[in-house]
Amino acid sequence: MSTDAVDIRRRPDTAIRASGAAVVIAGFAGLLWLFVQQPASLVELTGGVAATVGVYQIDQAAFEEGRQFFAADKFPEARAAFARADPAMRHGVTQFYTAYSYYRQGWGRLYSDDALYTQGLAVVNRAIEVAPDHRVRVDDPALDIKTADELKQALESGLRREASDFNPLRVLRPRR
Amino acid sequence: MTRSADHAAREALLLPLLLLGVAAGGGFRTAIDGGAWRFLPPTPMTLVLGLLLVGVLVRTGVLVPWRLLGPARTSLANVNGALLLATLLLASAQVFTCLTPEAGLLQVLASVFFLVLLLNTLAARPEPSRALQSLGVALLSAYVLKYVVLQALYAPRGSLAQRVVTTLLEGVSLGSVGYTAHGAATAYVAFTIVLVYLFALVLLPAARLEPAPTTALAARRRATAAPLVPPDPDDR
Repeated sequence: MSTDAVDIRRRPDTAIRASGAAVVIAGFAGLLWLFVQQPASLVELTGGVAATVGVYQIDQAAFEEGRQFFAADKFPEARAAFARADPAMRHGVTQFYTAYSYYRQGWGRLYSDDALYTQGLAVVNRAIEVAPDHRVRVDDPALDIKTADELKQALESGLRREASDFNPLRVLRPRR
Repeated sequence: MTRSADHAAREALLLPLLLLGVAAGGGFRTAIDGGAWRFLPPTPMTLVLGLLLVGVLVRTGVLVPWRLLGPARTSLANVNGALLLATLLLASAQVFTCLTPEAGLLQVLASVFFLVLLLNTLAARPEPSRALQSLGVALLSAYVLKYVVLQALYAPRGSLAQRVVTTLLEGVSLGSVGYTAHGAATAYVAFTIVLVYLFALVLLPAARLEPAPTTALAARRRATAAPLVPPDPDDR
């Protein structure tokens, strides 16, 4: 046994002081996290803490249900299922699918729905923010857009007013 | 638990955790529609007010910093003392964040009010017990003003009289009042935060709290008595 351990046993206040310093420094880190992350609810707070320590998990059954709705073009239903799967909004892939649902629902041959695209852009930005290394890649054969960066570009492009918007051949473009 | 361990637990764990709770809760706000949370960090103005408040606590003897930091203490005890002072500064700033409106003319007025109040207390240099009483009254008055009076005035779906008063206020101030009402949870959290902060101040290592001398003889006896802060044997 080391002499330090014997000393700590002899002086209980040393152990209290050392553990206190560690707890308070962790508390400062938690406070900083709170101010930066700004959780908007208790679910987001607990989910955010769990994600920070790497133990956050989504509800896989609800996620699969959402994907089925998504494949069937039932986008509001898909978003409800994705929200159940990822209540803390900390899972990049689920957030990617949610943003994609806004894109597909808002897409039109003549024009795109700006309100849906704006919501989609906010969600894809969140997907990029919460994903490891800020990268989301989904190798789903049913999706034409595979990464969050491409999806973000598609949404931003839909929100911009450009000369190409008036090209009559635009109506022939496929939905991605 | 020995007296020394009790002293260490209070200084290293209890007080910093209470003050960290105040620092987190002081910035807590809920939206009036939907109840979404926000956590406001301290602004530069509230940091200045917090620093002034810590200065007031030191000058009035509510806090004796040399019982937290000094060459007579061990390194670890000094680390604990420094952390406690840092949490005290942050919590003091966040108490002002909690009690000051977030924007507009009212924020400026509240900041100036707190600034003048603290400078006045610094100049008056009351005894520790009187300083704590005065601070308690000031903080609770600010709480009532913000979370009872203004909250009632700016509550959504208020009565016709409320809307007339707020419209007049906005008109007179050329729309610069800019107060935003909060969800109900904000007021309850703020009340708890103020009480916890005052409780933490009572637990700080202070100069000896004695009742004010009632006679000239008692005052003379006190003046010739032992130094204000006896050395603490637990700090070794």
